[in-house]
Amino acid sequence: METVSEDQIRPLVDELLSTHRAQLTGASSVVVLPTAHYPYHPTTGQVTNPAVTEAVALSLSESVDPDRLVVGIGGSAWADAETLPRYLGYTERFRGTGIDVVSLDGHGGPDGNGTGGTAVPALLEENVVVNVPTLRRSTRLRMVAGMASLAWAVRAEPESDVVTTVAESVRPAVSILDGTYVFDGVPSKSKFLLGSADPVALDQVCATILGLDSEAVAYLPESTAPVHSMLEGVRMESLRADVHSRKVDAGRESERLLATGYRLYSRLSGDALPPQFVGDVDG
Amino acid sequence: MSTDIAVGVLGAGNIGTVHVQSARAMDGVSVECVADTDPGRRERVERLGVDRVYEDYRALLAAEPLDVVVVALPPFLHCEATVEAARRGSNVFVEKPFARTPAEGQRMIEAADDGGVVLGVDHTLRYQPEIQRLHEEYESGRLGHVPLATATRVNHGPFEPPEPSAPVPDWQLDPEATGGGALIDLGVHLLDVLEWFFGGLELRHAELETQLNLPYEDTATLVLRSTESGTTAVLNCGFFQWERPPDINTSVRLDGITETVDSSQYLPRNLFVHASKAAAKNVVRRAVGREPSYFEPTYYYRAHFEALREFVEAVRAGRTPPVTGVDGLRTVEIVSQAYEMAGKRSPVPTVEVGR
Repeated sequence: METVSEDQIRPLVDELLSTHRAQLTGASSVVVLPTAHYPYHPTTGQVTNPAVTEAVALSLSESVDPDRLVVGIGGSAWADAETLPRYLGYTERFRGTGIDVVSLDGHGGPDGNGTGGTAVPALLEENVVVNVPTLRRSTRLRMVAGMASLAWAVRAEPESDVVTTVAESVRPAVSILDGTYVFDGVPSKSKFLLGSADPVALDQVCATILGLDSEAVAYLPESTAPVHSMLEGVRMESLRADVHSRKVDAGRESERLLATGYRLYSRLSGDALPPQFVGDVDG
Repeated sequence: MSTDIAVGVLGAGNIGTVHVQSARAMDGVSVECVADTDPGRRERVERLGVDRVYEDYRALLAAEPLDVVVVALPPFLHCEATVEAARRGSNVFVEKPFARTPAEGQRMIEAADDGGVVLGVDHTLRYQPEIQRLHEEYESGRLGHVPLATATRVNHGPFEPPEPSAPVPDWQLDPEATGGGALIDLGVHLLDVLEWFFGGLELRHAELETQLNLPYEDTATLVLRSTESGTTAVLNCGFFQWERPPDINTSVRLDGITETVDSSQYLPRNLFVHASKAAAKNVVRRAVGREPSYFEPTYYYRAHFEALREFVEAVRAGRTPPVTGVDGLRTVEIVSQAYEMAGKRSPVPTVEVGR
């Protein structure tokens, strides 16, 4: 597959949204929800490529009044949703479009009232949601795609049960999965976009792309739609070949083992302990 | 009466804590006190055995007569802390960047001169074994004339690789607090090394870029010229790459008349193997009653240990430290010129620092 350039993204998005446009046209207001939990570069696959978010929002603005269209930034416990749009380029990208980029903070988002709970931000509860996640491996959830990305907008670092709970209360009208870059342990320029009104089916496909059994992703129920129907015209083999299967970095576990070993060594040798192994800094 | 060098450390972040541990391990040195605004960090240094901890570094300086003050505070406090410590008669070892602006650096040097004390800067690259080995090769003449040099340092700056575990620190993304981006944070190390190798550098070209839309440069390239050695040096630094120790993206490459050498070739082939061997040696040292080679398994923290030790020994002996305040100021001056050249004014307003 060829690289998907910004110029190519828009027609692909238009095509993916075409079958859902009638449903969206009647919406009183629409929230476009990209994965934006930390200031990672779009080529890492950790966050949604803002070019894809822009294409989705601008495509929607042809059938939805821009005044009734917003891009919602969730942020996380590690990066607030006020500065993230600037770091990720959303502020500049949407300047002059009439489409507001808003923080889910203050709407009960992950840094707002939703912290620690599963209260869905009002913005997501009261509006039609168009989910624009990316696809990444995760040590905690194994995979973050459509469903888990949605859960991140409610609660930072969600567990599987939170993903399930959020999926029951927020059902996107449509999801456009940004596969221009995905993170499969390392970034991969994978050059695809997927669209579906069925978040479970979309995640089933994503699991397949990453080479994961559906059972390995705890929050993923049985598919409610046949996978092949979504991918008509796209050869799964080529997606798999592009997204090379790699093990996600087990960094945190390695660090714990290293700290334990180093503490033992320090006691035996009298050497100083590196600060990060001295103990928790709670302040 | 103790003849120990009395040390106080301002700022107990990771590197500040390394300085605490390093100083405590040195013969004839006592760590009298530490200051940090963060209670968790104060508890950490207390656990390490520091008796007196302060929340406010000014209170520490007012209360404690010290031979050496280590300034490991955020850059926006380097100048006022150094000026105050020097005014009270302490020699000052300053974390990089030495200052946010040349004006601040000049003020710090004046304060040290007025107080009759010396300043040092923690430019640790000089103390890394692979850089020292490269310097030896260069000084030996084996490479002949070196027309080209390339120095690179890239890491993830204020961010974390996946999966993040701590909030993005606000002040590290405030250019007024830091003095700038990757160039002043990482580039100053490279400038110090290049001037150590080649003498005074003239800035010929500066490119400053951003990969994310940050309030300062996260990517910088400088072209510099040493008229003394006739070397053109290219400096690259950035905040855009995930760094996972022990893999550190730092290198200095010299293209000489006779051959090319790169500092990377002098790194331990496998830093885990290096750590294991160094650890085993230190255990044996303990068994035979000798002191460990402190921080040797970590490789990089060892350089901080050596930098502080050489500064303290210089103070004890009454000689000029290896890396002086003037050296630190030179790096900040070049950074400032680069910001001007690239059309970016210093983010730090020019203010008179109180005497």
